[in-house]
Amino acid sequence: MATTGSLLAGHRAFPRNSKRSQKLGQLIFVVGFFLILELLVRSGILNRLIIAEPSRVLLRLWQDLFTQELWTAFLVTFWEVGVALVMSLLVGLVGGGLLYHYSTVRKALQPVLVGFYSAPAILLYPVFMTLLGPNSLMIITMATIMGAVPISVNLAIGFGGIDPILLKLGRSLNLRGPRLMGKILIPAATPVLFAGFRMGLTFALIAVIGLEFLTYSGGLGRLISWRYSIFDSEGVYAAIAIVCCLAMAVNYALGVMERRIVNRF
Amino acid sequence: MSVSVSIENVSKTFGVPGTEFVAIKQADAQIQPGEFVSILGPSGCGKSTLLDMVAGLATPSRGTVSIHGQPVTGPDERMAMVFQQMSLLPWRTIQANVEFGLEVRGVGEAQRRRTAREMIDLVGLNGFEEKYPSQLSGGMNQRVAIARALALDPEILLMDEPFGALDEQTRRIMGIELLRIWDKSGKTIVFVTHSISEAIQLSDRILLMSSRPSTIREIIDVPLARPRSIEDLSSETARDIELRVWKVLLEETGAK
Repeated sequence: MATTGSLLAGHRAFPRNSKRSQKLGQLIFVVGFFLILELLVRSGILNRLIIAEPSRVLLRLWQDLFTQELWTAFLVTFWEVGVALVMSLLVGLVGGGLLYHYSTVRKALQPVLVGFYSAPAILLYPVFMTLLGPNSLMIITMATIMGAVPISVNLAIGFGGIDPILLKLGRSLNLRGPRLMGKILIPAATPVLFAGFRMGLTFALIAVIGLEFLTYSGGLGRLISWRYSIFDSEGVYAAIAIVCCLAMAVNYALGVMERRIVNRF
Repeated sequence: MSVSVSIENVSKTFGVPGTEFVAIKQADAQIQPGEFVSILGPSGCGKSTLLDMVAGLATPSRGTVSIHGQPVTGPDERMAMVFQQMSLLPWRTIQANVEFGLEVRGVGEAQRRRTAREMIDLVGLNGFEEKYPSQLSGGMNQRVAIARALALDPEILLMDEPFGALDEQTRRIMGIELLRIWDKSGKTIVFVTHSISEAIQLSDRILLMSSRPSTIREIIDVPLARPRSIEDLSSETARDIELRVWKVLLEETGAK
């Protein structure tokens, strides 16, 4: 677990100036990219029907913020993503705990589960659509499954990879059950656990948007699909920008949660 | 004087019936309070297994280990352990690592902080309280592990090759430091090592184990004066002990 320590300690010891210049570099890259894109579309090198100018997308995004269409779609997606994230975490944590506890099951299932999360599982949507119908329940169910798998696999890997000497230290101090979990297991596995959470939450988000798009059942995915079918390219990119903001907000919230948990140890 | 640690007719067998193998067979030893005893023996002879049984982390298949006459049935608050491998919690600062055992035992925060500061001072790591283990050298990390164990104020300190991963120079210096701490604290120390010179440098007695199925083949007194100087360690007495240990080890490993 020396790696965990180096990562955490290294993170704290990272020079502030170097971080600032890194952020500045990122900003320059993003602004530069959109500027070039703007020029390419305006000069006619890129077709406006395929790529909209960033400035027009930004304007459309502003106008969209005052429409009911966008907010209705956003709320549907927000609700589906929220429920799917909570469910993914719950199912993933229970599943991961069971996988860690029953090593035979872990050995048998781990390769299958790892294979599952690298496969395009979203293509199973016709099965779920037949079973549950093209509605939020179907979307949440599929997103939960897709999100829970990486969370449970990472949890089992994280707990399984803990240095045995730390477990021995725990035993020598008579630490057992929930106390062992809180004092050693969870802190030691936190970096791997949060990598799993990030992956799971990203998968769940992709599943929600992708299924809304494919099944035309509502939310931002459906809005993108609708605007795409009427050649409203600015509208498509504006809706995509909203999805990106949602993804960033979820990721940011997870980052804050991770920092708070790490600081508690 | 009462016996601190008593190892009576202890055997340890691993594996299932039919394919089992005997790791330790009928080991016997008595350790007095305040004594510094080393367990030395050929590689893989079960030194750490014997220490684990004393610590209550493993159960003897036969025989008993007792502390002041009470059989050991599990980890006991009168003992604390220092391991060979890096056993600090990497996500905790040095201060928080030293406090860890006290925290687990439910000691209040103010008392914990005070004791940890004292122990950090004792092992000579003042000023490193807010550092992380990854920012310290291997030797410094082992000092922290010793401080963590001492913070529990154990009567018996069990050390499983604590300097095994360190280079020769650091190991010698750590040995001197450990003797200084032992002298101040008056603890009973049971110290597993594979280094003959380390055992001579530190111990009152050496429990010399045979190869597997191992037992305590000889108990060798180290009659060197304390505090021990570098000259003492190259004295004739020290050389005689080294020669005696080497002869047994060569005999046990079958080397000529």
